[in-house]
Amino acid sequence: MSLIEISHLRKEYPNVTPLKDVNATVDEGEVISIIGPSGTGKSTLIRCLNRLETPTSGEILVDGVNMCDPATDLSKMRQKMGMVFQNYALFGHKLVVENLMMAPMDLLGLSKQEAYDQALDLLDKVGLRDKALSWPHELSGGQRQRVAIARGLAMRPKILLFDEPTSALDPQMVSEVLSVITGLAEQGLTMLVVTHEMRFARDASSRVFYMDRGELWEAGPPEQIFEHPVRQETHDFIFRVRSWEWDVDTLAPDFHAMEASLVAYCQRQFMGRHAANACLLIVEEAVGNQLLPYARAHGVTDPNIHVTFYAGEGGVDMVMDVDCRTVLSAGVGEAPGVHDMDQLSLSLITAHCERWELLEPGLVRLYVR
Amino acid sequence: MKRQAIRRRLLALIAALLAVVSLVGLPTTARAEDAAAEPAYQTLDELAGKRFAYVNGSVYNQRVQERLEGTEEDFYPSLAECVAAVEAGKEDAAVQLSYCCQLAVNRRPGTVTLLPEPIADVSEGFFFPKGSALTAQFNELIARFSQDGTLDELEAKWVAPDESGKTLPDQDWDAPNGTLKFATSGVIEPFSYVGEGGVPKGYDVELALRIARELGYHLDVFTIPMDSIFASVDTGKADFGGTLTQTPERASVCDFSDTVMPTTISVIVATEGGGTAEGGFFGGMAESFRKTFIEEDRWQLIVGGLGVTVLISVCAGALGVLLGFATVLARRSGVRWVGKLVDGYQALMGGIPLVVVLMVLYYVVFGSLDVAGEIVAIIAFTLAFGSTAGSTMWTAVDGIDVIQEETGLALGYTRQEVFRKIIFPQARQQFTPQLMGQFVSLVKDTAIVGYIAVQDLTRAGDLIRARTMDAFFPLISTAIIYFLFCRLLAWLLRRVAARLDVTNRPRTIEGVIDK
Repeated sequence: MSLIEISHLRKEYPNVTPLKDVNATVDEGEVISIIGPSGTGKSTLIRCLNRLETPTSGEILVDGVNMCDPATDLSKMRQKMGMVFQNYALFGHKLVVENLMMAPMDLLGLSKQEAYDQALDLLDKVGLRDKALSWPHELSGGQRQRVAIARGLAMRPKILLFDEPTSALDPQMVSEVLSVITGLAEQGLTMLVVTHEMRFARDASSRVFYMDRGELWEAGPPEQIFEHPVRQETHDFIFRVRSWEWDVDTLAPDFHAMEASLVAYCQRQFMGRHAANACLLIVEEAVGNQLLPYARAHGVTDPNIHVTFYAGEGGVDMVMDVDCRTVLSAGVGEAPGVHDMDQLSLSLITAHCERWELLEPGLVRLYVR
Repeated sequence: MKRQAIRRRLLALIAALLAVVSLVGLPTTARAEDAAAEPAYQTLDELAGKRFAYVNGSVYNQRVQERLEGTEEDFYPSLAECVAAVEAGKEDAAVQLSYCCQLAVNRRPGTVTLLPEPIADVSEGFFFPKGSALTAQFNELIARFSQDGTLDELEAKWVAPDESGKTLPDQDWDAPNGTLKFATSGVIEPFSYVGEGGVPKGYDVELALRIARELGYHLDVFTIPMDSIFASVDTGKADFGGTLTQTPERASVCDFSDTVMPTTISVIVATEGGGTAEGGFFGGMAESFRKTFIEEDRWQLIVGGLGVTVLISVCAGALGVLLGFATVLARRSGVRWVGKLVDGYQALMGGIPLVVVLMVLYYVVFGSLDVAGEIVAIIAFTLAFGSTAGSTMWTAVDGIDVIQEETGLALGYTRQEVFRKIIFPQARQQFTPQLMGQFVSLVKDTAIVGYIAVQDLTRAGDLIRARTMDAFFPLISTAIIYFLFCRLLAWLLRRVAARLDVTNRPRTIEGVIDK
């Protein structure tokens, strides 16, 4: 028997149905990453598991107990399932160590000394032993989330649920939290993690659930989901989260916003600073210094430039497509393509490219170094 | 450093108080030079079209209108305020029973004068709820006392300048018929006023006592603001009241007895260029202090009043916090109609002036029950404070992130445990300072309980003012006492709040050993 069995789970609200018909099983020791577009029921699913949400229909068995049965002692069952939220939610009126001691003393009947010793051990495990006597508000977001994880562990749960544990964190704090979760995964704790961190999903989980539009579209080992997805939706999603896009539909686009989103993307892909700068330079040169002046000179108001960038993790196989067909078609008769760019810009761009090719007139593919 | 700061603050406080007192004291002492005083008006006819000051609930304005053309009218709590308004030039004349006017002029020599010519004859009587059997019994005795000279004897006793003989008989007679409750204003010396220890006395009180003795009753005398006497008799809070002038309108609400003493009303006007405050500024202050606090041990009235203020505030504060907490629990219950009930209660308390709530409770809700005014006041202020405290607490509770609650549930706590251990302690951190500020406000708000015959600090000041005819000093004294008391309270509450603030505690875990 599996540890968790979900069958025909459905959750309806008056205007929206986040879960339509979800069926899944999770075995003991599995680490499940739940991925998918925003607002497709991932969080609702794990919130149904510990009954923070009441399903409209369907059945959830946890450790053989029907969670939807009104006779079930929910508090007892929830003690078996730790949960870590996006916003950590440490108890502000308690010291860090007390955050870890409170529930075990109240609910598991641990003595104060036992709870204290366990709390220090767990803080040690998440690397925050020396913050035991701090107030939660004195910690950084990443530290707070690690305390929240330790607090969940303090109840000695069989299952740990994570609801986007890194979404509220600054990028540099994401990895400290992920490494703690990865460490737990290696210890054989059963975990379900709703996440947007694709690298974590691929490297740390035993299986990946791809959820979309209230349904579990595809479940399988990370290699299947990330390399050979069976369903088209999964493929598109994986591709989308791995690529970066920028549409220019005005002559004065917001370069700051573009830079921020490109840098964030590069960080997500664990690209080096050098590679990120190279991409930025290429986009700025090609769009800002070449295509937009060209469009202005030819009276184009909507340049309709489309930049797509995709990179493998760690910055391998970086490809950038620049679609500037609208701009170049304005100067009919002139030779199109990057041939028109002045020498300085061209040399800057080519310095960062291994090579480039013209897919069709106005559609350039650059292989970034 | 800290001690210096405190000393500097205290000095600033004392300086501010002295400034206020001297500003108020100056006008009364500035007239000290010249003893040759001239009344501002010599005859009644000069007062046509002038501004007149009356006591609240008085009907003498009708008699003045019959006599003089086009006068303007303003109403004050007692004759003391009327006289103060005349002294300050806000009013041209003050009107009251001639005996009262004479007393007032005696107490404010040089600043006001009594016009020799009375305005009109008036007749005052006791009054009873409609159809009361007491009316006829009283009339019988009033007729008898009139014939056997008792009324004349009482009049001579109570209007005499000598204060020493003005005492009331002890109620040592048998009272087979029980006790009657007598409501009187307590601010019309020599007819009804408070003497030593805040005990009501005067011509009206003694006459009522003598009649009660003949009828086989004991008497429970209490004072209540002029404009509330009729309400208290009408609603049965008192068995009879008095004495007041009979008018057709009043006679339609209550039955009046026959006249207890035919008398007149007179007019007080300001004196120009006069004044007798002896011994300069500080001498005047000392005299005012003596009159307000020392004479007849009036400080006891103040202390008693402060005690009542404290009693009402503390009880209403404690009960109000409990009531407010109950509204929070009610809202959290999630039951719709319970929430609506709390909404309605808070809207009601937020939309009705507290003084009206107080009077409605006293005269309507508890109208037919014999409940002490203090109890009604505590109930009213508990309701009021419960409403504000409840919404303050709820704002804080509601403001705690919902994730806190979900986290608690996910750990395995029940909903009640989550509230008790996680939500409320964090909310309390936020609302405690605000709640304490609201409590200090509550203390000040209790100043209106005089309306329902409760003698608190403010009412004590009113009663003393009515005796000394000095409006300023008792008012300023009352202000200072309230101010100091509220500061003390705020200081105490801040210390309590600091103790309740968990972030002030030491960063240690008691009772564990580090391995």
